[in-house]
Amino acid sequence: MALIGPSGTGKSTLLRCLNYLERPDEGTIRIGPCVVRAPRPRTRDVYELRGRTGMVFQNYSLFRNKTALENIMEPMTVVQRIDKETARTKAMTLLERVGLADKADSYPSRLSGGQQQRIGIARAMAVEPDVLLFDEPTSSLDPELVGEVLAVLRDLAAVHTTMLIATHEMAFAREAADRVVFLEEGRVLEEGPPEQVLEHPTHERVRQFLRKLDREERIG
Amino acid sequence: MSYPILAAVGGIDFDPDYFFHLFPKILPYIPRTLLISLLSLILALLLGIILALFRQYRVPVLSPLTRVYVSFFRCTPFIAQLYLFYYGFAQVSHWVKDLSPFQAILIALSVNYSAYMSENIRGALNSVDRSQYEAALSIGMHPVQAARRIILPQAFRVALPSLGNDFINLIKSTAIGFTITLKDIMGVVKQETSTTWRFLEPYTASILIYWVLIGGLSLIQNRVEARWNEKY
Repeated sequence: MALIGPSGTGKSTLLRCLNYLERPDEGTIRIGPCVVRAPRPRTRDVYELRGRTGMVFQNYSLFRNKTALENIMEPMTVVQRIDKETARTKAMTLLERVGLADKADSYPSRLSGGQQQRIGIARAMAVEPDVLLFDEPTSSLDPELVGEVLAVLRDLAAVHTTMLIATHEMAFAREAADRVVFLEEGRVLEEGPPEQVLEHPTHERVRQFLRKLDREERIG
Repeated sequence: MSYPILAAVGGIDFDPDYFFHLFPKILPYIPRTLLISLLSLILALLLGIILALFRQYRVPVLSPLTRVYVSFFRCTPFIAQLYLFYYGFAQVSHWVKDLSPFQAILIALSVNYSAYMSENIRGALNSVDRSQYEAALSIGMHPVQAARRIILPQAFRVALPSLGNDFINLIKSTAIGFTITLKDIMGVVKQETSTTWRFLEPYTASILIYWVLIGGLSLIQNRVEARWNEKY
């Protein structure tokens, strides 16, 4: 599912609420059997929610004092309490999936933005979540590095990983998403399959937004 | 005179024999100076961390009090603080009156340096971007785990150079202890001068000892910093 809409409209806030990094004013978050009632949830439920959601940040937010491999092992060894050797093997598998097995022992400072973000995705997957949350995963990357991250996302989509992605990459949303949600000022303005929302939006506001992005893409 | 060449230089009144005989008298007091420095370092560090956390997490009441505390100790001379505490407070408190010079300088140094250190520690904590803390929470870590595994190791690395400098300044500050009759390197030299009425040799000897001692420590400090920096 792709979340689109103008900047400052609440896409990030929504994702951060789903991970309970942001405290919602009210409402209920339900993922599978896990129910979190804002604004006063039980602490246990918040931790369960975080175990069911894997967050990928706009600025990667890798642990800078840990190697690529250790970053991915942290959720396993510290949170799930898997023994080190098993965790190492599992983390290596994830690294291979994002195509960075050769960077296992590199610290984040030695990696490009695209590589860091792929590690970030592997770390989120290490949580073994029901849903992966992506907060504009490509918007702080140099244009030539966007492709490698989108390739990983496409692979994940191909094996039917549940993903919620806040993005400005319309072409990607059209191709990879089952559903597209248009947010504006904190409200869902339009929602549906990508062909419908992106090709034949019913709201004038959505049309405007898409035209503007389209124009920028052609100029840029 | 057994060092005629030295003594002949410009007819300076410097007695090398006396000078070299001072070292066996002073050297046994090095452990004392180091002990005070090390104990105050530990106390100041613990206190500094607590104060830094008060400020960092804006703990009501304690955070503004910490500001006043830091301001007071940074903006007044150490010797004035020491005198107010050791001589001034002794007038109203039996507890202070019964303190030994050793205990008094330990307390005064610890509270003074904790003020400086809390500022350094706060800066170091702020240097680790908040998003790593959020990332740690997002993978299911508890705040304490996030602090211990992610934030503190990185903050410590940033704080290391300034903490090293604080330690060096701390050792030098212990020399003020002689003014309240502490018997450390400086104290024993002071005692020597008041019995022999010679000043050049004892003060030269003590300053050389401080120089070698602290110079050696700062070499170690460089090594430690380099080791922490090579990782990432």
